[in-house]
Amino acid sequence: MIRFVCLLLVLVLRSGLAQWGGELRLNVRSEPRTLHPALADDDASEMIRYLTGGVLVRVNRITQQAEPSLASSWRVLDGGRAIRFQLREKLQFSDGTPFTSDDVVYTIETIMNPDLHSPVGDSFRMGGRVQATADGPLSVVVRFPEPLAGGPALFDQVAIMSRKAPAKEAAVLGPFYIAGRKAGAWVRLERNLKYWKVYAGRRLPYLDAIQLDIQPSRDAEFLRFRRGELHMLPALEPEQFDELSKTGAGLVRDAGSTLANEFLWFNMAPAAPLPAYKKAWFASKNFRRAVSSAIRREDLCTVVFRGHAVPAVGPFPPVNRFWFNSKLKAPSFDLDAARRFLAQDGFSASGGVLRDCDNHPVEFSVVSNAGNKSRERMAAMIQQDLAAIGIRLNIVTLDFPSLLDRISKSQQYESCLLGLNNVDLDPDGQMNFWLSSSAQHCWNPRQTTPATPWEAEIDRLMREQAGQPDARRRKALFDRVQEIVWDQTPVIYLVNRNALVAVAPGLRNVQPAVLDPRLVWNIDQIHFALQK
Amino acid sequence: MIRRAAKWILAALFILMLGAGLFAPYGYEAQSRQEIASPPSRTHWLGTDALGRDRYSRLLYGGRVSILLAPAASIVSVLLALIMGVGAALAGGAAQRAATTVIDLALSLPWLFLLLAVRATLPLNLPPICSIAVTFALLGLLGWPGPARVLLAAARRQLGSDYILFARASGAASWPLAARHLAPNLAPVVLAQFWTTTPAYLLAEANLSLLGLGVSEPLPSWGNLLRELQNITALPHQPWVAVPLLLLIAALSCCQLAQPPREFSI
Amino acid sequence: MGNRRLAAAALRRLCLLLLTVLSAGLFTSALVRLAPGLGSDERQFDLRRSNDSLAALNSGARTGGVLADFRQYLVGLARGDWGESVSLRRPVRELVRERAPTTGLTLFAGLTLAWAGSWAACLVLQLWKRTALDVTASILTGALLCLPAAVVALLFLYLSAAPALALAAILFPRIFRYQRSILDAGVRRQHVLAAQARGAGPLAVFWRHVCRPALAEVSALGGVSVSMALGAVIPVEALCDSPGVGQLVWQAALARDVPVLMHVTVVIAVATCIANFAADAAANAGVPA
Repeated sequence: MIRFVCLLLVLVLRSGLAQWGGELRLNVRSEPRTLHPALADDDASEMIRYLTGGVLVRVNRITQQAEPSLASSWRVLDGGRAIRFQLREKLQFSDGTPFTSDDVVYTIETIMNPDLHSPVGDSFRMGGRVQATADGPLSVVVRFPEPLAGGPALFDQVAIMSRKAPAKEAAVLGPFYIAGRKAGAWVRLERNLKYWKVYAGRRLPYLDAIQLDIQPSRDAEFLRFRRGELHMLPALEPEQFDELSKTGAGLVRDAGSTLANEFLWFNMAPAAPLPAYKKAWFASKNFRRAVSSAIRREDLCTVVFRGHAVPAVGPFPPVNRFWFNSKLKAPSFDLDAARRFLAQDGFSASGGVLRDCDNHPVEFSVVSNAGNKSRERMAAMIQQDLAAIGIRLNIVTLDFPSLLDRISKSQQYESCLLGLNNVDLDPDGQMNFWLSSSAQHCWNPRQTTPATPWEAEIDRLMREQAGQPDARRRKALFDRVQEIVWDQTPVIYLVNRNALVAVAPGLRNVQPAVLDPRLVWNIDQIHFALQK
Repeated sequence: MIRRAAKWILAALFILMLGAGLFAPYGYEAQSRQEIASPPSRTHWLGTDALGRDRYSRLLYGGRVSILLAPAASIVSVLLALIMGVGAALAGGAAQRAATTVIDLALSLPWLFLLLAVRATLPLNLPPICSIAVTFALLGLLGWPGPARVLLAAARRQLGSDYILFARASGAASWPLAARHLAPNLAPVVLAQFWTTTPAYLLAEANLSLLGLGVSEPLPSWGNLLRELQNITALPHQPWVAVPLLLLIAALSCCQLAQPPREFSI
Repeated sequence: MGNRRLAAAALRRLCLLLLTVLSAGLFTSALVRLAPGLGSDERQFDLRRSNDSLAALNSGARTGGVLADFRQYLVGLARGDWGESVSLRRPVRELVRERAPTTGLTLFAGLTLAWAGSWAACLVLQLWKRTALDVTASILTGALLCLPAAVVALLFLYLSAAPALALAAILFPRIFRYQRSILDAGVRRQHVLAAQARGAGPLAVFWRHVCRPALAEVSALGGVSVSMALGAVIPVEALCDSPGVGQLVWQAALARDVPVLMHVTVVIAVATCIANFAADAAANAGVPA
């Protein structure tokens, strides 16, 4: 009894100590391309969708587990081919329209519309059509042509839209709704008075409004945070992190390793306009492993990221606890091993210059996107590292559209240094990266048949794990994929960077996570400290 | 005395830059990975950059690129502007109107895309010296329209002067008239343009590296050293980062102060 | 007779303006197509997207070519339809109309401040002929010229100053140097010496005998300064978080947004032509017979 009273007291006090109201100021780096929840595919649009959209299931970014949201519970049926969601009752959209199972059906119909090309719908579209049927006003069954690997967690990206609301997509179920917008300047979100979550008798969220300012420049964004005009920075540069750390320990946090990885790959497309001898180099596993062994990943972490990164092992870092293959380690720096790999292919060094068996000096270029200081510095360090084994690396930084043109269309490049910001814990999120027939299979896209036996094996394993309902069996299959990638090194994984975030001192309940959106994943619980 | 001092300072700077191989204690590419972003010390007089490279050495080597090539690009654009402006003024009438239209058009177009197209045609493994030469050549070739407009107006005014009338009456043909009488009187404006565009090209080279042109790693240039100033909030803690800026200001000022008083113009 | 000549001159100017505008549109389309990256979209690297979605993205990006773009542009222009921004998916005209007042204000304030500063500095240097002042002016303007535009913009953002001040700081040294050299050349002319010998005051000499004869060149500089300002306003707005046309152009250039680039280039061309025309007219009106 006493414990109950104490708990109640704490709850009441906590709700009392939290300041209700206030405006949170954040920055997005670009104008949102769309405000349609089914079409959001850039960071700004996805941020807005997260803050305004209500979803059936929400993945807790700390525990990485799916939690009930609009759906109070769910059951996986038919070996993973169907999920029944039980919806919460008496919920309303922001304009007062009642929320029913028909809205879920409408949402699924919308995202699966082939003419819409919704990226969210593409996540579900594995070899067939997904269908939803209402089973009463508060129950809906979603059916998949194959067992849905990834399960209910995928619905974290599906913002439910109303079929009947006069305001169309503007009617939302999330904690905020879009109140206004000025092109190129800001987007304003205000509290949704009909939001379903309640805490201590009061309807969440705590905040009155969120002002999203649009500022592409990282330097300007940092300046504004320093002046107190912004409340959060979700992605600090390492120098900015160190600079802010000197001002006060509570302001900045290293949330740990993210899913984002930086990597380098060679152009192995047969149609690439490269000399035959260079194609032979890049196609050789020994060459790729030699380059990988010559790179000092620890130095990249220490120098470029100031210790806020870890050497990368493979497609997933250890922070992805379930899917990471813990038997694998990051390739170690070993110049002798590098020389041995090269010698096996007939390379030899003389006068500090490495030459192949036809006496061509080993020289190639690496392209990367200009303006990304970390990548420019990594490239400069790799250039130095490879010089130690006689390889001359030329660094070319290009503006992003030119870079994309080269690596996805013209194939006029030799190697590329880029990063991938994984948003999905599940390997299905990387399906298009690993399938050899995919346009996003970066080193040799759009293969009609797999060019190598190991790519054929990866294709087989990825397809098998996608249709496998047993999580442990899926893990075994994906572990094997990681082992093949580690051995063949089609992609030289470099580092996994940490999530470096900054939060203004007056905010409470901010729990930085490594998954996006890092700082506002629990936006309905974030509040300002009580003003004295 | 000021002129002499300026000349000595300039000479010293040039000797330091050109003799960078002798005077720089380290290579411009040598990375000391245990001493990243370190402050000035006995071993590193201006500290090290984010990759542990000696800033003083990079300043000297970078000066070779910038101090030689930025003025060269400026000369190219000055000459083109002079030819265009004087030629249009001499021709007069429809030719002058056409020239004005071309200048206005050239001032409005987004030349950025031409630069991107040039980068696309160049091989990726271009030797650094070729990349630098192409960069500054492009800057020189694209920078003439603004000065051409001013020179056109100046030339037109000069053509209405008495001495030009006298020269014409004496039988001087157009181009000898331009070379012998007009150009020297346009010298102050031409020099002003030169002193304005030289630092502009030096800075523009750094911006061109965002397009894949410019000086590529690990070669330094004053332009890409000056880009470090964008980290404004770190400057109070790392004031030595501003040394390239101070050196550039000093070099430019000395160049102007070293000129004879008659030609001195700000 | 005089009216007919005036009308002919005005018609000629209008035709030249039209030619400039049309050429600007055509060349912009050609330049953007010439550069790599047209049709490239970072969404191509969204791993969620299927091959069908990617194909739809690519087909949406393709256009008919330079002439087809230009024809579409002319037809749209005649109808008052500026097309839709490829990257922002909004009508170009609406975007420009929303942002034009911000840029207009920044340009006006920046140019006014830069010119006012330049005139004031020139006046001070002419009235008080001191080597120390000359050297100081040289070093200060040199310092401003040596600062990258991005650094100037960030510095003013750091100081919470208006973008117009950053623009003025970028333009001032350029305008001042040209103007100073023009006026300096004017000071050395014979008639100035004669006026001084007759006892004319320094201000009168400066205005009547130095500035007025140099008005043609200073006016031409005025026209050029508008072009310089239009170029400088782009990084200033992009970095100073000012939602103007400059910021739109910056984003459009990165996204290869042809409709936005074509129309904004035309607006810039028109502004440049008008500024230079006004400069020439002012020069012709001011030059003594």
